Amino acid sequence: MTPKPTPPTLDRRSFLKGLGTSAVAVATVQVGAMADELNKASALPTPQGPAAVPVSLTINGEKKDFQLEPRVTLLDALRNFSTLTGTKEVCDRGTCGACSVLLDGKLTYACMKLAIEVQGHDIRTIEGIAQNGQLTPVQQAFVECDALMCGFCTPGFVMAATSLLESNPKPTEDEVRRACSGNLCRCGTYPNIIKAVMKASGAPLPETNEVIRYGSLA
Amino acid sequence: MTAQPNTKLIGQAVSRVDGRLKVTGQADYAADYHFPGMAWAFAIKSTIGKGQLSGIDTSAAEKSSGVIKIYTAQNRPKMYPPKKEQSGGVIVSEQLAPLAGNEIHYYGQDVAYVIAKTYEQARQAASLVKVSYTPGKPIMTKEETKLKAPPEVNGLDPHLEKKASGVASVDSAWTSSPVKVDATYQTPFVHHHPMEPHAVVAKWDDDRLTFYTPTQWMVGSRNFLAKSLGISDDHVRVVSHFLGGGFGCKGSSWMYMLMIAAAARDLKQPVKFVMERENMFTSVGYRPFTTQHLLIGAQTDGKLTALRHLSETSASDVGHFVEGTGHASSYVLYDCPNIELDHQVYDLSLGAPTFMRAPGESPGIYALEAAMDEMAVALKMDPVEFRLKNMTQEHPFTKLPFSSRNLEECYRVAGESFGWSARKAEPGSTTDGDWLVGWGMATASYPAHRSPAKARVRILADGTAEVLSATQDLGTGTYTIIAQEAADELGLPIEKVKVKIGDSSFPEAPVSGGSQSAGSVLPAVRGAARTALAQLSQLAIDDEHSALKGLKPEDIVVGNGSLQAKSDPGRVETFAAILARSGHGAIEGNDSVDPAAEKKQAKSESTAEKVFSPSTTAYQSFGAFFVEVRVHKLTCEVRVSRVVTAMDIGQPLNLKTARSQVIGGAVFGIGAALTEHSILDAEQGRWLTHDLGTYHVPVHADVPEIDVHFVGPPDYKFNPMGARGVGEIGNTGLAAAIGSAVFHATGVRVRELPITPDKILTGMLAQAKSQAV
Repeated sequence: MTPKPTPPTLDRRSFLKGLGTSAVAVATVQVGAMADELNKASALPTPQGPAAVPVSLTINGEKKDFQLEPRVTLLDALRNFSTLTGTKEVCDRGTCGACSVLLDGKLTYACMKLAIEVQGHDIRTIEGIAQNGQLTPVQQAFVECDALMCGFCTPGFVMAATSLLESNPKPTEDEVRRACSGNLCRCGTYPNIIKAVMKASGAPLPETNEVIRYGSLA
Repeated sequence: MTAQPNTKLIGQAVSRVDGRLKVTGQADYAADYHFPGMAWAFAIKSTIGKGQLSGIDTSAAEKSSGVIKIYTAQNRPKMYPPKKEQSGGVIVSEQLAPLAGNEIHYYGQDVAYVIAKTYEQARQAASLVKVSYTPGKPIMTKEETKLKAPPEVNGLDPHLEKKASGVASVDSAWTSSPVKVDATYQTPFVHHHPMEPHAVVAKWDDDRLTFYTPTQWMVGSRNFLAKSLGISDDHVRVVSHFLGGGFGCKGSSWMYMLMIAAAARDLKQPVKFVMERENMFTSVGYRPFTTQHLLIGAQTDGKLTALRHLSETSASDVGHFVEGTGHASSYVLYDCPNIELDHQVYDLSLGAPTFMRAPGESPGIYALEAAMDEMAVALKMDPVEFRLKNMTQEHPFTKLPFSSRNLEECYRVAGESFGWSARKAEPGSTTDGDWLVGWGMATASYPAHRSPAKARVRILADGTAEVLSATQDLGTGTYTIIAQEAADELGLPIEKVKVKIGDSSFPEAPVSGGSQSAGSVLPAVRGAARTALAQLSQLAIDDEHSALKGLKPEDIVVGNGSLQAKSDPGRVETFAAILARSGHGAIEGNDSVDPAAEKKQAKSESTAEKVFSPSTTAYQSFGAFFVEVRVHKLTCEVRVSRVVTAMDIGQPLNLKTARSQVIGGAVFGIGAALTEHSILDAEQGRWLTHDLGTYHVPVHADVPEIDVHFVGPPDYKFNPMGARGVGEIGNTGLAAAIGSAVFHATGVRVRELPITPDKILTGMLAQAKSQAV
């Protein structure tokens, strides 16, 4: 892609500032972070973009090179500029958790990060969870406990559950709820997700309550 | 030929066959498809609620980087949008053609589409398009417009009534009833919000279109595209191997689909479009606003004497969908000699409404069951006892017997599990610290439907099998129950059955709506499997070298990927060996099941009992919800602490997935009762709730353990599986039960959903005031 002239109404610096604010402004509680972001943007020695620039990301232990406009989010870099489409876009506004990835081991919404700002960090996506085709205990428990229906929120929940158990291998049910509080599921799998995460942690599960009583009237 | 006994997978708690794909991120949804040279589309939406488009200036946007084309009403690509909403295997909820002209009917109407090389470039260019308007006044309330009777409600007359002989009118029967309830309930606009946004990848190869889109009806979307693009339907292939939820908003074909397909044809390159979450409020339907006036009369012993259910629901002048509230609830639930249903609609300046999980039943049963609870209170009767006084084994209006109805058993099983007998009748009688504890219950119900469906089963050279049908899995578990059924019939382990659905080029199947897919498609899968096996069996019988040579088909049984002689287990041939010797690469069986023809085909009186016959039998599922809520006495926050439900859906095909469907429906019910509410700005005509931060679907913290029981026998009068479908019934009844539990906790009756703290507080303040006087 050939570089285009700077857009008429924006100089490069305000363009970059705009990027910083639009990415952070939606994250409601991070006023301090916004100021940091602005300072960081102002302090950058070489403005980047608006045309595509080389971006190098370490995803699931593998270095991948991209040509991306600086405004491309990590989520869109994964989904639209590589083949890693397991990370899902649902709200694109940091409210649903479907795009959750692990950034240096920390649970992160990929729609809230620009690809260019996560260079040099370790990015783990849903594709990097199972090793050598072996499902992890979390993944296995999700399948067995039917902790998924349509499956669209599932990658995000698997990431959230994986992140929880890496830091807290024996959580309580309330800790599971809290750890998954940043993820939405519209099919309503929540009770089964709790069971799955507890099961993956090795906790004994009570018998499920489903009862078949047909024949009692026939 | 028969399958060996005790090997049936149907009915068991089998894990989803697509589970592994979904937990590893490998399940391919429509928007995951990419093609070389693919462009991106971005929709520009009207920012007024009504009026005229006076100009679109695309000059700055045209110069923006990566822009390929900007479509407006002036240069719309060639297309032939259907004039009729529902004809020839097509469902369209909104008739307004894309970029049809200058008239703006609602906020968020498509006014232009930008096509660019990347998503970011399309979005950037869209922000540079200047649209000007001559605004009018959008009609946003019932009071600004006229009520009118719709042409029909659920296929029935909008006004229905039945009266006992000698009764002048249902109203007079109500007036003369010893105990009366007169209450009006409101349910708000709510939106489906499947996690997966609507999306399209349209790819043309010469004059053939492959169209990746999440749709609840592969075949209907194909028909819609073929008709409106003016091409043969065998030149369109619609693909969606997985849907990230649907809940009704993916049941219709929407005009944006046509727009993207036409643009891709015009530009001769693949085009992708992923709907912004904000536009999921404006552009793909919602559940209408309902106002329901319930007048119930009863004898002092609790026998119903009169039931009037008068509904007014919002509609749109660009749509036709009617939320058939009373016609889906008071029409069918209870025995009552005098019932009147009336339904009127009013058009608002909004996009078209559409089906949403349990359309009609969900708000209709809410209002009826809330009123039934008020009547139980008026009668000083236990709510279960009161309902038990009004049971019926035949449909109250049509008088047809229910194929299988076990509602009393649902009350008993769920009530016992919940511990209902310990309930203290007096509101506010149980507290736990600052929390007021209340119990409520309600009836759930949903009809059972079947439609024609086809399937193909192929037994392959390696001894495995595949099943093909153009049905779809919305997350309901269609893949898994088809695999179970085919594995049972073919005597194969489930791992050796590959299910291929979500592709319109496969044998036709109906829309996944009305909870009908399982009950419609599985009989065809069974038939196709039997046809394939019969052919394979014949090959083995005719084969000189076969251990089964010369046997009669009825003397052969199937199991473990083999056929064997019934009388001599030593005479056995594997599928693979039979095929290898025959020189066939594969054997294929097809079946096409038309439920309407079953009665004609029934050979004897005894089999006639077991055929689908909607002219002589009513098919309806029933269930019960029991719920405990805790209301904080200071903040009036409501927490649902326990849910117990018993459902009579006939045979659950898979205990895991059926249970999940009921849980999912219940979570929808919790949302409807407490959190979900799409709010309109009545001046501008726009949705103030515009993302998942402002529209509150239930989250982890809102959902307790949900205890699901299944009761009642398999319903073999409905279909050979005895299964009536389970996708929607879970979203009926619970909202009413929660409302009744809030009343039981606080003494405050909130009649407008959702039951938010402000409404309870208002009621508690009024209560305190009246007690002080």
